[in-house]
Amino acid sequence: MHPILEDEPGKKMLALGNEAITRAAIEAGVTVAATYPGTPSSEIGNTMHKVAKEAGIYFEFSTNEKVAFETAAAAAVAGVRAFSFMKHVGLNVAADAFMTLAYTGVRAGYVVLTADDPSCHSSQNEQDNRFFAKMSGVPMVEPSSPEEARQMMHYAFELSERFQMPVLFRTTTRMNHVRGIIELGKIRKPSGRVHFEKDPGRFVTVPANARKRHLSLLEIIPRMQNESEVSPFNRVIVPEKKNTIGSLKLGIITSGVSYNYVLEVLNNIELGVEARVLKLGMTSPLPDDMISEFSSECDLILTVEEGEMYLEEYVKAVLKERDVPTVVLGKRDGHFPRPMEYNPDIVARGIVSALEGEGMKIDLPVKEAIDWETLPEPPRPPVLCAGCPHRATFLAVRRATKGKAVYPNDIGCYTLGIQPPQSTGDLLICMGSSVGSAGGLSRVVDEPVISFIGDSTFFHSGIAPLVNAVHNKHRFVLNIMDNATTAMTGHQPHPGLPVDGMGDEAPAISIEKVCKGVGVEFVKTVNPLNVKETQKAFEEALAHEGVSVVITRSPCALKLERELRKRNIVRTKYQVYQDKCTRCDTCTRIFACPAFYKIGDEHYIDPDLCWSCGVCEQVCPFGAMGPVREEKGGE
Amino acid sequence: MVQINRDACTIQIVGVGGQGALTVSKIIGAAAVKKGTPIIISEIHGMAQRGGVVQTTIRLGEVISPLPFGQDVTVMVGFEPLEVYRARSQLTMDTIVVMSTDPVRPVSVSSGGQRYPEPGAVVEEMKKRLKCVFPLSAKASARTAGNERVTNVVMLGALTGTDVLPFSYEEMRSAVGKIVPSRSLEVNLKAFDIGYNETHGKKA
Repeated sequence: MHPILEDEPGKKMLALGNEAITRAAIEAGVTVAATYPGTPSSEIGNTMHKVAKEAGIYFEFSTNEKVAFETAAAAAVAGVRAFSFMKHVGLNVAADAFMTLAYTGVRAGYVVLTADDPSCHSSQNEQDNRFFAKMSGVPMVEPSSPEEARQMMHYAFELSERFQMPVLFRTTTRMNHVRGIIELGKIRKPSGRVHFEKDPGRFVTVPANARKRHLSLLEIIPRMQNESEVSPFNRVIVPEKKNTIGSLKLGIITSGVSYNYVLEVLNNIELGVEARVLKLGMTSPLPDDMISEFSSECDLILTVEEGEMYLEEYVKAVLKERDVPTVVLGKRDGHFPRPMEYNPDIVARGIVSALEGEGMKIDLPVKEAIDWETLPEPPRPPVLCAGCPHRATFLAVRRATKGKAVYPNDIGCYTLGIQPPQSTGDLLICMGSSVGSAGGLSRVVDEPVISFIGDSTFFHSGIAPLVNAVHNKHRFVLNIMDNATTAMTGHQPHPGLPVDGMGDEAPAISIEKVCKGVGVEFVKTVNPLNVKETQKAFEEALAHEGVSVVITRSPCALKLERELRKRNIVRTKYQVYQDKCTRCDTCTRIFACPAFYKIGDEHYIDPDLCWSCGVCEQVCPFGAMGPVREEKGGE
Repeated sequence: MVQINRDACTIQIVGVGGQGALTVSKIIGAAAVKKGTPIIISEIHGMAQRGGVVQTTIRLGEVISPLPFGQDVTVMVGFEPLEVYRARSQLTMDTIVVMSTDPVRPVSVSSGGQRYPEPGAVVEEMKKRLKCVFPLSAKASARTAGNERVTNVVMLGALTGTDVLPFSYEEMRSAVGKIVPSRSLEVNLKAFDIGYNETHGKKA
């Protein structure tokens, strides 16, 4: 049995935030769960994938977040508990459904998790999804730790059923990817099949019904706000150690991970204030009475929150409306930053800056500065793995175009093609944008357009724009880079593979047939590890009038290597034959495999990093790279 | 030698994606759960697997924040010398540094023409500024143990040998057994012991 399924209430376990959330969903009797993988939410899906069958849950990796959202929403409308989860930008994809489900509501508990990514650790923006709650009227909770997340999931399901509303469960990277100790709760069995009770007046949002449902939503919001006033997750906390006595009564209003940093600061630094913290766990609707009562007992209020001025603006408005004179400081006055995630130092600086603005003088403990000698500090950006088929594809494309083309790229490992010497990323907005943007570019630029999209991303949002491109007679080359997995987020399956989220056999959707089916006349599949053949395919595709598709198909090197290692298979590594090497640097200049290194001007291949793709042999113009010689006959 | 700042022992692991830092934090986690020691571990996943910089922060003790104030690191475990140097702003004179001297050259060096700092120079820099620095070749130790891939457990052994963790040699060894697969337990324990002996009872 997977440890996450252990039915031992009270048992303590070290769990990643995402595992705690998965566990809680199982405890809460979730019957349907769906996602599209996206960091920092991915491990929820990975764990579900492993345990769904045993737990009696239906789980799927949907083609995109909108489908995931709808799949789970429908289950909750029908009457079983459901859970969908996605990264923050995934909620943009699902937003159409999200906004209107707020009108219809649900019958059984429905929790929608959004995992925000301040600092863009692995995302294209830092958007603050708390505003989705405000915009839709959907209630929202925000945990600070894995154990609180576990408890809050139960609360979210209960809220959802009490108000017949979906609940937004908002996390950030430092919540999803923090490990902490959780205490297992009781597992509730998933539901069986239910009878669908028809109620089109509620669930079919034609304008006449939608108008009525909007009124119902507006009637539910104040009731949810009453709950927020008494929610066990909205509470005042007084620091235990320092900052319990002082001439100034400081109130800090905070939520999510920022709360952890606030407490770290208040417990460790003597600010000379009497501090108290309003920790908000239910952050939509916000508790007006609680906020104004808390604030009226303080001399100064600070709002500490990563991202936008969600709490700050709300608190200011409430205090103004209630004639509470306490000053509120946050980001607007520049004490706290809007971009990037926080840490205790940023929070400390913000608090001190605000207090000093009020005339206090505080000496932050400063670390003794160490005077370091300057040594070389070369950057270490993430790169395509050694043996990655994408690197070979990019080489073939650059050869076919002689670098004279515009390259829209997409979201996945192949985004790393932006770095030299690949330099095959010129435009990237979001999932699927490589295909839509290629159409627009092809109408206005004076060079050919070659777009890159991965297999999973193609299914996610590449098909509709491809239909558009064929119909509107655009001319560009679409390269679908099929490495048979969703690599960047941790190797989840997708509709192109013969396996589904439950781990069952499933029909694999043929990318070739999809492309031909929507009317692409030129569709060619090649193995990118054969550079010449791939280059030729791109040359032909470029000559084609209209939309052409080149599918470069070779398994993800990282996944392949792991599988081979499990089976104890070691393939022949590659080496540089020093007698033939002319030190021309072609290998590092045009291919730059991470396994290459130099000592002086001599080239070498690190056997620990080489994954035997054999492309270097095709790259070297002098035949100086090839299989390791001493082991004649190879494996 | 041991200095515990405030309420928590904060361990900062720095290295490169794929070096096994996650396994090390899981082993320390297993020891903490067994003993009932409060623990919070913060990891940054995402693009780390693709050869990027990896930072893991482990806090043992009665704290709720996964990140410390003042980058207050009790001990830094460096899986890679350049990454130790890069993380130098997190060090105080009292921070213990346990570091591998085996370089993993980034592509900016191997193909981009940038210079890599001499590992010896990084060690010297650390020793010049800090009170307690333990350099070792984790790769050589792992090879001696029988598998080059267990450098992470060598480093864990070396960390344990400094006595900075609130766990004994035996407690850590048994935690290794909880996390690593049984087929590779022997080589991992051997690696752990080699690492342990590199630092235990030694003056930095």
